[in-house]
Amino acid sequence: MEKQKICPKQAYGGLKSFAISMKPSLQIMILLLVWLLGFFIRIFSVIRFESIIHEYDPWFNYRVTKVLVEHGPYKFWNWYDHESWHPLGRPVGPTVYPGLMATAGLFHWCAHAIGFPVDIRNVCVFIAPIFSGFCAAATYLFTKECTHREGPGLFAAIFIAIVPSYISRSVAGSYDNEGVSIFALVLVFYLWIKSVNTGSILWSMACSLSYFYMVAAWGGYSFIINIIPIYVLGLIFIKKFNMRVYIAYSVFYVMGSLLAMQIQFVNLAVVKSSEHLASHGVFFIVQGYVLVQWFKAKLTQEQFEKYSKLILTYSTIGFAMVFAYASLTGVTRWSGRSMTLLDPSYAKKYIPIIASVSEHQPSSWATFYTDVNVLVIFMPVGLYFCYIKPTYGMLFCALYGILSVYFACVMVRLMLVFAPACCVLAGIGTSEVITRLIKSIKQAFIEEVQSEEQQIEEEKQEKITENDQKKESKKGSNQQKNSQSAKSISKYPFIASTVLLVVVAYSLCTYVFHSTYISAEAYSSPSIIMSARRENGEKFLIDDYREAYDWIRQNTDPADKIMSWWDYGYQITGMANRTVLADGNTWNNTHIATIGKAFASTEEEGYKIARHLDADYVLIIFGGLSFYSGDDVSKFIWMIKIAQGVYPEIVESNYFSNGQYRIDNQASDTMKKSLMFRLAYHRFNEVSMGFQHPRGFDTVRNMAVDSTPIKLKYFTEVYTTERWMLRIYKVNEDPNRDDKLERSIL
Amino acid sequence: METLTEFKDIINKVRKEYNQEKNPRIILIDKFIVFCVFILIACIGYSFIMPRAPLNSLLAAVFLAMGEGSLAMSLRLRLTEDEFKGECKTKAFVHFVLASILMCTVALYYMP
Repeated sequence: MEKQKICPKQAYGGLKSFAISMKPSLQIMILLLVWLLGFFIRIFSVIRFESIIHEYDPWFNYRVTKVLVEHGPYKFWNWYDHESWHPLGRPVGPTVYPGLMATAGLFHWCAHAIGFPVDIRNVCVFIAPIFSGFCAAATYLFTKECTHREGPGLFAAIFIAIVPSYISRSVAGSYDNEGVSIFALVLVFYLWIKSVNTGSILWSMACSLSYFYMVAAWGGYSFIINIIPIYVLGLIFIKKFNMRVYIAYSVFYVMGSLLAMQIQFVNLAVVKSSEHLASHGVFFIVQGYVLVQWFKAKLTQEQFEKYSKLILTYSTIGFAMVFAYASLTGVTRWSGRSMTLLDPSYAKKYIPIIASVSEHQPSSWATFYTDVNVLVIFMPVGLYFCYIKPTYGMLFCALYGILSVYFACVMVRLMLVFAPACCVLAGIGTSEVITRLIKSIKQAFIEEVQSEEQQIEEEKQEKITENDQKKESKKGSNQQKNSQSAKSISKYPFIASTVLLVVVAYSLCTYVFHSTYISAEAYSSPSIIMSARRENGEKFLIDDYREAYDWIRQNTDPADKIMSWWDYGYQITGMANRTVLADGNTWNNTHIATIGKAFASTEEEGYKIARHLDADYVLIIFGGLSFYSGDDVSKFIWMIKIAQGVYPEIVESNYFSNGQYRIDNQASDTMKKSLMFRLAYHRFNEVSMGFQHPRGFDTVRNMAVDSTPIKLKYFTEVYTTERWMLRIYKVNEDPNRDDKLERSIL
Repeated sequence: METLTEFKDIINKVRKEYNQEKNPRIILIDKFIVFCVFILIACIGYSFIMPRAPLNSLLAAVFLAMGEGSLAMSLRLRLTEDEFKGECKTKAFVHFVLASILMCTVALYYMP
């Protein structure tokens, strides 16, 4: 009779032991699937269009990588680029973060060594999706190290593989520093927590080596070199500082600073910039603290208090004096970008170039929802658990989360630094919530099973009479154990926990759908090719950019120089292979302001400046015919603002009529005479947009352009693309000179 | 004056306690740490007197001195502290050696 009933507890026990034995292979399989997911969600644009480098900055990185691969590392390190910033040139070695190029070059070299002759363009296009998989693995390790459990780690890994804000900067084709450096960031944090947990010199060395990779890869390393000292200082304040943290920080600080100085771009900024000041200060504070602790053991209580007060007052005064001296005399100074982070209104007042970049605007609430979606709800849950069950790692996660939220609110671009923190904390929160819910459900089942078992036991007892006493004591102890375990887990009602579990699962599913939708629609645009639909639903490609760049490459002299706004500089040098006057590096504000002045002045003045800058062609972007709102006429306000900063004779209000930015008959005189207006709307009043609009109707500004025909005296239109998006003008030769005469003299 | 005599008493007490340290390795590590601190102060003092012209040499020397001192201090802590009682001591020495090699390589590369 006993054999007919299979004891449910035994079946459950068997299942549990099977699951535990499968755990490592399950984890590895999950991580591999997460890697594949992260890779495939990023290749929408390659499938839709082609394998092409996107946007603006990646073109420069691609060009530099080509030099590295074709000419070797020494040529790359010592390269002086004469094709950008025309009369000045640009020393590429000391002005670029080489980590990305070195990684791509390494992949390229390894692939060729194994026997796969991969083109460097394909390596560059696909390197970011590959590194997203590495980043998921690093996030898993980081979360596991913080919480000592694998569950939160797996959740964090899958969250970061598909979080939209990370996808936006690491999509296939976006060959930019962030694609590689987010992996480096999480790796540094993982190795830091590992070294804090173990106190081993070797792990601290590994941490500083990965910090070196991070410094090589991105300017965001200043976040790491500030958050780790703040963390150590915080530990001192809450009296959790022990010798492991001391070993970890001292080794990391010295080795990290030494290695950071090897990158030419950083070089002496380690000691001269204010971004590293915190790390130096905390290093000395830590040494002082350990010394004080050592002394405390030797002295009596009152003696120690007396001396500590004395030394503390003197050292605070001394430190304050040093800090004031350093800040006021300018021995150390904050870079412009760091000032923008600390004081968000700084850039608007003083540095219009930084304020003009759309990525540097403050984030809105909608950005948070788009970029991080459901995780923003689970993040505070994880933060709560970090404070309830603090370990060294959890405290670091909490600090990272709070600091990154502040920076994410200051600049949209830094949502990217917030994404790993959000994923880790959300992973912790989700895992804790789900564990509790499942335990409650299990508890309810076990109680049912228990009541069944009690019935079986009672039946047994009635039949067997010999071991009565032993069984009773066993039952009693069993009951005691179960009631104890019931007390340690807070039990939620069965219905409530099932419903909540379904809700959590549903919200995670919406997260996956949202991420896929956003990455397919919003973040996979190469911005150099666009697609649109006709009225009959048929899709067509808008390839004007490449059309114009190919025209330039085939129809101009290789020594010709192109004047355009700095956004397009990288693309022109990359695709058209011609020298430009300004590009996306924006290191020389005066040069850019001069170009802005050329566009903002009258045609004659603009011509003089163009000849002075030695430009042969002018390229502008015009979106009036094709609904393209990111064109140069929209950016014209920023050109005026930047020019005004250096040349006060340009007054922004002159370009507005009655406070409005108009381009039609009511446009101000200064606007109508400006070079940008004349180049953009040359011949545009002849264009008909259809019978519902007048001739020359600008679809972006929603008004018809001024009807007087524009005749250009100093510029000649040489090419306009199919949808009028890029317009190229030749700068005429000086009018009184005759080419043939000059040649006959020579 | 009272504080001065008190101070002297404390110093003597500390010195007596330290003299009971018998392990020759620990004493050697302590001397090395003092040496590193001395080199650090000497470099910085010298840079005030003479021109700081090749700044990267100065920085290499300063950071190397700080680094070797920190590494030696870490080694000492790993050998003596109660926190690390169960850990293997030979490992600590090996880590110290590897870390020193890497640090010296980087600093000497940066120096010229």
